[in-house]
Amino acid sequence: MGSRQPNAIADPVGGWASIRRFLFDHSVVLLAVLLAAMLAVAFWYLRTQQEVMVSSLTEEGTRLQAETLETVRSLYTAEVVEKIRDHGVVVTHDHLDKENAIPLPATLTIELGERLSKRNSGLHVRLYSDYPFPWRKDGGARDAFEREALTELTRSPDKPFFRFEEQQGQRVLRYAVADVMQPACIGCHNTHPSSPKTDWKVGDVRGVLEITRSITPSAFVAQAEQTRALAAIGGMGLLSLIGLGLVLGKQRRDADMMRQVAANLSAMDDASPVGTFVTDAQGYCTHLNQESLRITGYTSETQTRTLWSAGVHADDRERVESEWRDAVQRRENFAAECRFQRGDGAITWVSCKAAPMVSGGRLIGYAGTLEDIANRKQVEQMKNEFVSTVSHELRTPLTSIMGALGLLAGGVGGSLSTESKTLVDIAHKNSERLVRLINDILDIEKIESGRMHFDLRPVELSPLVEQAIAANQVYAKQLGVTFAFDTQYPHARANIDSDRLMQVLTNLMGNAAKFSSQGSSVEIRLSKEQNMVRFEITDHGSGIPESFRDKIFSKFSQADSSDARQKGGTGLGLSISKAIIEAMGGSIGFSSQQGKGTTFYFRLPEWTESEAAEQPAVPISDQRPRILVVEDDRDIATLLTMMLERAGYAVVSAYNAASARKHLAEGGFAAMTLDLKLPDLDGRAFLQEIRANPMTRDLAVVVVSGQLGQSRQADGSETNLVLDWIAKPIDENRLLDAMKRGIHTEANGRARVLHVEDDADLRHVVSSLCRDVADFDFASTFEEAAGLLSAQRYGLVILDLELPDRSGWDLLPFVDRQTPRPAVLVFSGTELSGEDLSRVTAALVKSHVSNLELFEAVRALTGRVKPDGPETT
Amino acid sequence: MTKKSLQRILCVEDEVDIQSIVRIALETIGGFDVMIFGSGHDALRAGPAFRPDLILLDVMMPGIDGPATLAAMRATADFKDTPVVFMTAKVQAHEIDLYRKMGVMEVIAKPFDPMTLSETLRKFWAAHEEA
Repeated sequence: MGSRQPNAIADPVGGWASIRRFLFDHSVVLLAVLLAAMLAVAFWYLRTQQEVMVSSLTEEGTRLQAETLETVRSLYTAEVVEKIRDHGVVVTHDHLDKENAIPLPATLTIELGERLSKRNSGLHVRLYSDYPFPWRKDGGARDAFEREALTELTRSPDKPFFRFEEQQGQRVLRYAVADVMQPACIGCHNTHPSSPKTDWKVGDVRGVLEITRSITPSAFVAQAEQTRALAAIGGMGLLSLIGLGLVLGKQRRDADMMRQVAANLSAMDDASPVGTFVTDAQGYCTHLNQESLRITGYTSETQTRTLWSAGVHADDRERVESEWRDAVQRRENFAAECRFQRGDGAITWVSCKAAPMVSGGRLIGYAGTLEDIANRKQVEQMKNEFVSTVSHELRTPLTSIMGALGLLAGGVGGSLSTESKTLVDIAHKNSERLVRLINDILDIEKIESGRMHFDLRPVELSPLVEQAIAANQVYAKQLGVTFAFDTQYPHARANIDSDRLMQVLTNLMGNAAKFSSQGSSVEIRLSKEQNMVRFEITDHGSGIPESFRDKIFSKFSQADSSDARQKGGTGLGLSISKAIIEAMGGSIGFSSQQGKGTTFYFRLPEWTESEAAEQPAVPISDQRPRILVVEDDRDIATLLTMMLERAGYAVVSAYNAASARKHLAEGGFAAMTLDLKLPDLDGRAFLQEIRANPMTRDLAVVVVSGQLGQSRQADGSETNLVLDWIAKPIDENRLLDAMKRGIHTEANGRARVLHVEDDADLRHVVSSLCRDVADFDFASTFEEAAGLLSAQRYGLVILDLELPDRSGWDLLPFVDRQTPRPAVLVFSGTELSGEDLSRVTAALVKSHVSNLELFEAVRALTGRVKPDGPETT
Repeated sequence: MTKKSLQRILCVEDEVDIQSIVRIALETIGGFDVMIFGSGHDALRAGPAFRPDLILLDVMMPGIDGPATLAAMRATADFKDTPVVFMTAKVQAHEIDLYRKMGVMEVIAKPFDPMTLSETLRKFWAAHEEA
C-alpha cells in the first residue's frame, strides 16, 4: 500500500489553525482570565469614580464650612464686637480668664473650629498668618501647604486654595480660604496694642483659614459597599465561569470522543477489506477509503474531481449509470455488479452498493461499499464448471450401471430367479434415485446461481394437472393411492414454464402419494383466488410433525431421515419447488394436521386476455416488408413503429416474448427489433430460441436495448447473429441503416445482388438480363468483393471463381459472416465437384447455360427462398 | 426420396461398458446392425465402409469430441447427410439447445434406458423420414 492518506480528519497546517486549536483547548482558562481582568477593570473604575465623587463632595462640604466660618466671623465682628467694644466689654483672646470679656473674632473662629473638630473627628480648623498675634505660638505657617496657601491666597484672595494630602496614613482635604480684612476689623487691628502690624487696609489678606478634613470615614462606607458589589459580581462571575467550564468540559469531552470515534472509524475504514465511498449528490467522490482507492486506482488527489462511475468498464457504464440515475431520482438504495477499469488499465469485477444520505429533505449524496469480486466471479465460474463436470462424471458410470441393470431386469441376460430379480430391481431403483439426486443438485445449483432458465408462456392449467396426474399414476398405484382432480376453474391460464410447473406438480403429488396411507386418495384442486390461480394438493397421511414445519422448504430436509430413505426422496424437491414457484411470480405454503394429513398449496398470477391483447396484425398481403417490433415499453414500441413506418415498412408490435412467438409463427417477417428486457423472458434467451427455430433462424434481428454492454459481452458469439445493437435512446439513422442491410429485398421489394466477375461484358449481360428482379453491385477483383461484402448485405452473391488477384473461394468466409447468409451462385468456367458444390447454393457453368436458365436461377435465389441445400442445374 | 427403414447404426462411444450396453440394447433388443467405434477418428476412418443409416454420437470424448466429430463428418461426402443423434450426460437446457443448433437430429440423455433405446431411435427415424 502507498502512503497513508489522511481521510476522516484533516489536520490543516498554518499559524491561524494552531491558534484556533490552542484557544479551543484552553477555553476555560482563557475565560477565567478574561473574567478576572474584567473584574479588575470594574474595580479600578468604580474606585476612581468613587474617589472623584468623594473628593468633590468633601470639597463642596469643606467650602461650605469655610464660608460659614468666615460669615460667622464677619457677622460677629460687625454686629457684636463693633457694637459692644465701646460699652466696656473687653475683646480679648483670653476672654475666659477675664471678666466681662468676649473673644476676638479670630479666637472665636479658632474655638468654633475646635468645637467642630471635637464633634467631628475628621475635621480640623486652623488660622494662621504671616503676622500672628504674639500669644499664638504657632500662628505662623508650619508646613509647605500653609506657606503655599499664604502665598497663593495673598496673590488671589478670591480663589480658595486646596489639595488632597496623606496625613498619618489618611487621605485629607486641606482647604484654605483667605481671611480678608473687613472694614469692621481694621480699627481694632490697627490699634490693638499687641498687633504685629498696624497699617492694615480693607481687603488685605490678614491670614488663612484652613479646614482640614479627612475623607476616609465617608469613603470607607462607600468602599465597603463597593467591595460587596464587587464580591457579588465576582461571585456571580465565578459561578457562571464554573457553569461555563462544566458545559465546555462536557463539550470538549464530547468532541474528544467524537474525534476518537472518527479516528477509530477512519482506522477501521482504512483497514477494511471492503471499499467504502461517499459521494455528493452529483456523484462526485468525497471520500474513498484505502481499499476503494486500491480497487478504483483513483488517488486521494483525483477522487474529488472524479465521478464515482468514471472507471466503470465502457461496456457496463451505460447500464450502471442509468441504474444509478434511477436510484438517485427515487432516492433508493443502489446496487450493481460491473467490470471496472483501473487507471493502469487492469480490469476487475466490482460489486457496488450504496444508500442515499438525506438531510433536511435534500439528497446530499450516497454512501456505500465497493467490493472487489473478481475472485468471486472466478469462483462462481469454477463452481459452475465443477458442478457441470461432476454431474457428467457421475452420470457416465451411472449410465453403465443402470444400463446393465436395466438389461438384466429386462431379461436380456436370461430369465432371473425371483430373488435375483428383487435384488436387481433394488439396485436399479437406487440408481434411478441417484440420477434424481444429481438432477436435483443441478437444479439447486442453477437456482442459486440465478441461471435457471424459464420459458414463460400463457398456458391452460387444467390439462397440465391432468398430465402430471398421468405421469405419477403408476407410482401412486404402487403405493395404493389414487388421485382425484377437482377443478373449479377449468380454463384458468397462467404465464408459466410448463416443464417447470410440471416438475413442481410431480414433486408435490409424489410427496403426497408417498406420505399417504394405503388406500387413501390425494385430492388436487384448482381454484381462483382474486387474480391468482390456486393449486392445492391434499393427502390424508400422518401430517407434518410440528417441530419440522419451519424447516420444510430447506435443502436436504426430511422429517425423519430413516423415513426419508424408505421413501426414496432426495430432500431437495420442496426447496426446488419453492424456488420455481417464486420465480414464476407465485407463492407456496402448506397447512398440516398431525394424524389427519397435509395440504400443500401454491398460487400463480392468472393470465388474462387483456395482457395478451395486442394491436391487430398487419395483413401479410401488405406489399411492404414486415418488421416485428418486440418491445415491452409501449412508448418505445410506438416510437420504433413510427420510425419504421415512415421508412416504408409495415410494423407489427409485440410487448412480450409470448406474443412475439405467436406473430413469428405466422411468418412473413423480413426483420425484427428486439428489446433484451422482456417481461416474460430474457431477450438473449429469446434470441437463442429464434435462432434454434428453423423457421426464424435467418430472420434479421436488430437488438434495441438499454442494457447492451452486459449482454453483448456475455456471449460474444451472438454478435454474429445480430445485425446491429442499438442503444436507447434510439438513433433513427442507425436503425434504418441496419434494417436496410438486414432485409434481403429493399423496401421496393427488389433484391440486392453482388456480381463478382472480372469480365465487364459478362457483368453487363447478367445485369441487363436480371435488371427486373434485382439491383446489382459489381466487383471485378477479390479485394473489391471482400470490401463490398463487409459493408453491404446481399441476398445473392454471383461468384466467378477465377479472379485476377485470388480465388473466388476465398470470398466464402466473407459471405458466411453475413446474417442471414446470402445465397451463393457460382457462375464460373468449370464444373464443380461434389464437395465444392456442397459449399455453395447453386452452380452454373459459363457457356453451358442459357440466358433463360441464368435468369431463372437468379430469380429463384433472390426470392425469399431458404438455401436449404445445394442444387445444380 | 423413398422411405427407408432404419437398419445400420454406427455408434461412437469411448466408455467400453457403455459400448457393451449400447450393443446389447441395439443388437439384441432392437435387432439392428451395429458398429461401435471408441473414438471419432476411428469412426471417420473406418465408418464409411459400414454405410450407416444413423449415427449415435457421444458428446464428451477424449481426442475429438462429439461436436468436432460431427463437424468432420459433415465435411465428408459419406456422412454429410447421415442423421446424427447425440448421447450425452450434459443435458441442461442450454446445452441441448446448443446441440440442436449444431444440426443433430435428436439428443438422448444419459443415463438412458437400454430397454427402450431402440424404440426411441425408431421413433426419431420415423419422424425424420416424415420430414
